Amino acid sequence: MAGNAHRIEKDISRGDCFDIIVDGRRITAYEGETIGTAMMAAGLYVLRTSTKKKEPRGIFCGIGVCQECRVTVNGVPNIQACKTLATPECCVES
Amino acid sequence: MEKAELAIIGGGPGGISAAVEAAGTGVNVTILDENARIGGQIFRQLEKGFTLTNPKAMGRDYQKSVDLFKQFKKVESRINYLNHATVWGIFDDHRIAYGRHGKSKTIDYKNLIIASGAYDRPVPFPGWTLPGVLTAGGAQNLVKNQRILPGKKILLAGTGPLQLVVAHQLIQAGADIAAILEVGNVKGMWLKLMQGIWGNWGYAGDGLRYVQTIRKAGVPIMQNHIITRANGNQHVEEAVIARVDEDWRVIPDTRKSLKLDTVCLGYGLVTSTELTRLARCDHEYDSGLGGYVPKRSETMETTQKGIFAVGDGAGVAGSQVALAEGRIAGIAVAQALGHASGAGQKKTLAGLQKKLARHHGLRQVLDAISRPRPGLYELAEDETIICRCEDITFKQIQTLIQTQGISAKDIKRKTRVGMGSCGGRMCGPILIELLRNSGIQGSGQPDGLNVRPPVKPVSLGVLAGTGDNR
Repeated sequence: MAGNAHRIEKDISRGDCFDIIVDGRRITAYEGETIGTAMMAAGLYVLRTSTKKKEPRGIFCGIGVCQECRVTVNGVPNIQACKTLATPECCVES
Repeated sequence: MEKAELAIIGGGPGGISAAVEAAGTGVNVTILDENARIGGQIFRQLEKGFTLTNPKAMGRDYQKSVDLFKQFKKVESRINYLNHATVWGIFDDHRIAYGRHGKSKTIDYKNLIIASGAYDRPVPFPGWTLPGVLTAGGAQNLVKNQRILPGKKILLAGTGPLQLVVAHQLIQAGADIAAILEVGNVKGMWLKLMQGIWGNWGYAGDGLRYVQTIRKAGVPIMQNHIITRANGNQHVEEAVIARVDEDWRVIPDTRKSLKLDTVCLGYGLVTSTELTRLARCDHEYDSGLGGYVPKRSETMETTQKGIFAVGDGAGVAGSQVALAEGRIAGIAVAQALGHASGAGQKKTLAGLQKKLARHHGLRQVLDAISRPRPGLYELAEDETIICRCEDITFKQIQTLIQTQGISAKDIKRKTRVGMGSCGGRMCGPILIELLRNSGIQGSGQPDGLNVRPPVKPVSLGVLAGTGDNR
């Protein structure tokens, strides 16, 4: 079972929406969303696989401290998904 | 080479209030902030793209942040605000090194205020690394600022009033909360709580409102309960909870399981002391808090002359204390630089100290409930991960502690614990508590887990791209 994240509609309006590409798959992101948020909204919670035990890891601290959410963005490794804003057509590898 | 009369690290309530106070008297201020805009964690501003259609939905913190941002605006022209700036080194000759937009730079300061903030206490138990298990602060950031609910059925486990705040926000956003587990014992504390709340009426009103929302939603608040395990394959699907005794040790035969898709852990906050340790300020163990804090004078100055520490990074006490401490340090720096005479600020300082004393009373009561007890660090099993970066297990560390009785420094050397990307921010506080529980670590400054630059991950390209040839 994956998670059941969903965007909150109450008390907020969103700006432009665009596609980002995660592991070859197109998902929707809104302006102002982090890569981690857009992935979570698409049901993608596993952001990296741990070094030795090869276990799934996702957003943990959510504020840029724990480094668990590191992904590769447009070829640049070790980008924190919880802090980095999604940009149109950006290419993410988890 | 950049120069600043006052350099401030951190753009949260502590750092910004210090900047406002100092710049207001004419001090030349530079702020180094990791974020895109001022606010820090608690006063984080919404990203461009999101528009609030109901400002009331953001709560009281939001209003306080609006007030602070207005004050900042008035003195903004005298402040050099550097966003996206990651400080990776503080050196003896009053010099800071930081990475910004792919380049490493340095700045020389006369005075330094460190307002580094805090983060949720990492507590290891089987399954705590599963996706869907996240910190209460992380969940709060997702809901408040990214406007996303991390799941449908959520368990909150931890201690203290922040859990109630998060529960309130989750419920308002439409989440279904399975339960709120309070590991501490609140029942015997009502009288003390009332005494602590005396003079802190804003908190009391907020607290009542949160409890009302939680009650109305039919969410059980279970005291003396802890999460012992998270189960699932690629994602958390089930949590095992149990009753605990006074030392937060699990009472046998009280375990039961809950089906859910999200777990939020809120065991209080630990201070980010990497920078004050790097600056070689003296620290002491605060048992009420369960962690190390820099030693400070009444003006927030550390044991290193000209280096001040304010806010949650110096002793977790919340945004109101951070605001007051920031102002005190800002005034102290202005006075030291001769920009302000003592007389004008005397009354302001007395008022701020009085405010701190009032908060201190409440803090003591809350600490009595939430001070970490030994049972909290006895949940891990052999294969439970302690160091998330390097996949180091509880067994690897505990074997060294029990068979060899060695220090944190030696454990680090033998296992690489504390040497991963997070710089020991996750495993460090756990290791200290494991050593304390085993009786190896006293209350002195930890000899191991020394911090060295770079204290935050900086790519070699950034380091090599420095324009400075020193």
